[in-house]
Amino acid sequence: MGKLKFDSSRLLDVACVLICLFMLLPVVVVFLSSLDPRKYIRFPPSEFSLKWYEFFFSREDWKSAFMNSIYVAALTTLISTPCGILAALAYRKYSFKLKGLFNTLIVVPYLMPSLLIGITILMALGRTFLGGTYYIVVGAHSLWATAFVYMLMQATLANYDLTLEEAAKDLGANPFQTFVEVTLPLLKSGVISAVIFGFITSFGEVTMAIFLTTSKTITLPVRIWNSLKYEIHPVTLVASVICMVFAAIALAVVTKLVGIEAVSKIGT
Amino acid sequence: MEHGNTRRSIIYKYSHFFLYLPSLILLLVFFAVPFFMLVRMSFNIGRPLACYIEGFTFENYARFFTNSYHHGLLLFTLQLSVPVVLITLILAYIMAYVISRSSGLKRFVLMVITIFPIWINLVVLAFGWLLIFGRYGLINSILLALGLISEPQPLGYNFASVVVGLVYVCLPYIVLTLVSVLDSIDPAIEEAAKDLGAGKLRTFVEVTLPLSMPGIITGAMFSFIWTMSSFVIPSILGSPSERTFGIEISRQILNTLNWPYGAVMSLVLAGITVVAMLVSNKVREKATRWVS
Amino acid sequence: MEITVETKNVTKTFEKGKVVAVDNVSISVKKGEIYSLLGPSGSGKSTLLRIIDGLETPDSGDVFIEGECVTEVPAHKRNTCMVFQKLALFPHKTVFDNVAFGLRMRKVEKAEIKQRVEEALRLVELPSEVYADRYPRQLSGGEMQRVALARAIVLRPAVILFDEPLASLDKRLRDRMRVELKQLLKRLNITAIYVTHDQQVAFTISDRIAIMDKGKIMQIGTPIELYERPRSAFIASFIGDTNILKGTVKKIEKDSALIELESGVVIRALKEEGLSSNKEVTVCLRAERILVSRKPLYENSFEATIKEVLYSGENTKYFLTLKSGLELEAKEKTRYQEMFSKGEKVFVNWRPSDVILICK
Repeated sequence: MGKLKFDSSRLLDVACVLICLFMLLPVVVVFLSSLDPRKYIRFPPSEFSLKWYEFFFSREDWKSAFMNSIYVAALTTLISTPCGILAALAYRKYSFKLKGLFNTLIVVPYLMPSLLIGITILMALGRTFLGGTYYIVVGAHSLWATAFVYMLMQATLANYDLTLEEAAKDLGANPFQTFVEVTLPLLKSGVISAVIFGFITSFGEVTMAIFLTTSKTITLPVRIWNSLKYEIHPVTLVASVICMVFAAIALAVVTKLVGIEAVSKIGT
Repeated sequence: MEHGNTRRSIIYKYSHFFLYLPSLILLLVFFAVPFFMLVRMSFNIGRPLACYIEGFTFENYARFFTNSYHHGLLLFTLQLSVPVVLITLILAYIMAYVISRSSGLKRFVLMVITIFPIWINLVVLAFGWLLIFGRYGLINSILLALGLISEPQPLGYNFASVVVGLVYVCLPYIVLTLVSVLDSIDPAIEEAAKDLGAGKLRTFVEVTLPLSMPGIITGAMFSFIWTMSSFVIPSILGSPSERTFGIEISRQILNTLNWPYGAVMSLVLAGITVVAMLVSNKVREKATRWVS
Repeated sequence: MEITVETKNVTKTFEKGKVVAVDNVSISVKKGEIYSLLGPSGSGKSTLLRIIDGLETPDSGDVFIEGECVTEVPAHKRNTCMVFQKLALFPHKTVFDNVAFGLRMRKVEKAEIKQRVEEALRLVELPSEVYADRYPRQLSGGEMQRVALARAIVLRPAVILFDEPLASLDKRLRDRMRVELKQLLKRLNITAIYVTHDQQVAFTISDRIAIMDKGKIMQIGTPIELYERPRSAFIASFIGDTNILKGTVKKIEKDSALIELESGVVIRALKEEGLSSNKEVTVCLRAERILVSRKPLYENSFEATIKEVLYSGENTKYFLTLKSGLELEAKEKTRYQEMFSKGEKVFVNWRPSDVILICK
């Protein structure tokens, strides 16, 4: 950077704008292409139509992949949300010997490459009663989703004043009443965010799912993957846009609830 | 401070444990046991298309350590990680620096742009790049429209497109890591450096950069690990000659159906991951001696 | 006199016994009394308060409230109420709902809740027509204090426990709230235990004070007893500005004693029981009882040089060195017309009755 004038923060801003374009480019290209009615994908689109969207919803295989994704994501949420929230509460409220170890254990699956997690689960459980069911995917996704929910709840709980619970107790509320009257309402936005986050983590996960799904349980991202590997068809773009829309809605809701700064703390 | 009521009841005493229990069960069934099984699998007898035959042998390890083709793949993936890590770090640092020095709407917008790709799945992002690099994609149409080329050039399915794709998926995470590190640097420290006569560049090199070292090291480690284990991105954006170690593992599991051999390769990858984490921890400790 | 709160040999340790927070503490608080626990931070006063409230369980010892042993009774079933340091108002509930919370938990009827909450708000001078529907974040610091207080008195508990709730207010407001609080507690004849590290707060508000240090009670007494007859150098130095000197009893006379300080200076103090020749004593001299003058005044009068003058408006502090090298600190109401300046040769004077002797 020798001759580069570093004090010109304008240069940094220009670089930043270029990086932003780089980040947004694939998203924009996929979205615009999905509106192109031509059979062979070319960019830029010549005209705009919703032809492939109609096509998507008329095709049973794509629709069932979509429903599978929803189903798996919902089950993952059902498992990961209580797991993550309870663990985060324990972390915030108690100090005990194994605290550090538990804390690391929960986050470790997120640090391990998903390729390895998918493979190990396939090898260990693929030939048990779990093999080929939704639950094997759900279990794998729950590992990640729990780690995310846990981290998100930790960020939420960091600003949570524990003396409020003591005050409730002191005023005569039993532990259950305290949880319902004080803990839950105050953590409401964090909990809802955790639910959404668990859902979208599973909904978008592809690497583990490639190993763990079968033609019966195939999820939308895996269906897109197959399409990209073997026959690219414009309907794949529609599936991609659906994934993007889910992500955008989820991000918007969570940002509204807990703020972008809390969202940014997850996974770093 | 302890908020438990130690004398009162056993539930109070172990409530922290009960709260962790669901997560621990999940970890046991889907993480700990499978990893143990992976190790066991690596000693089974492996034959292509047979998944595995129950047994106990070291032949998979012997095969891996003498297989120069797979060493080559490992080397290729290491080579791939160099440009990915470097480019990711540079771009991420610029982005993170601007984010941490801005506030209000600007910061919010930059944050959203950074975070959004994280929430979208890998295949969709790879698809986007495929359309950009494609024969009839964005870049070729721009170049054609500008008259710089007369017919579409093959831009995708090569080393460069794989690098771009990997940089793209690593970037958001590394930006966020660096933002949190840069945010934690007290602006007064930079002001002090300037006050003592350092110019902006000097201040950056002498103060800001060293203080953000922990984030840089963590970022380098993660982008390295993700490249080493990458499989979805290079198999969509690369040609058969861009076969990474991750792709080969997946082939052993899904196509060749030689699970014991795939298990050995997976263990090698797990080993690389763990070593990378340990090394980066050591380096980070060294780079942050001033903390303790 | 009826006893409301009593602790017997209460001990509490943290981190598996490594940190002793409360060490064998026994106190008893009478009905209607305002009782302060005064001590530096980490002295265990807050922990003791939390034990009385039931938020912590003691390792050993027992807590009695209105004669009943409540050691094993959890916080939500005790007839105690706490006003927390950060007040701990529920941010998602209105003023009314905050105050009504405890009554609702006790399953009091709706009509009675309304009537009692309104009465409590009136007592703390927050008319419910104006404040009932506000949320805590719409209140000023002083108003929040009042809500926290109302939330406690509405339950008519046996005792209200205060964990330094005034510490976060600015000085002017704190002084006003302090007076109001005392008047209210006395008017309603409420028993209160007040934890603070601020000597002024404790002195002005309390009937009795227990001074704590390192988990132990150092001395219990009325403010006057503690100030005039401290039983240890710690107490003497913790309260007020005090010169603490070491000395030996030289000679006992009819009603006074001569004491030789380490620096060789001999001073005169009142004769006390238990004093005998050659006995080592600690001598405490309150800074404000030392008079600086141009001429010798009292029985104890020594030449000194002013080393430093600290003028703080209302008061002026002098740091002095006696001929023998003894260093003393004197404090007085600023007398602008006759201030002394640095380097000046003066006399320091005090009466024998101003000397506090602490025998080992």
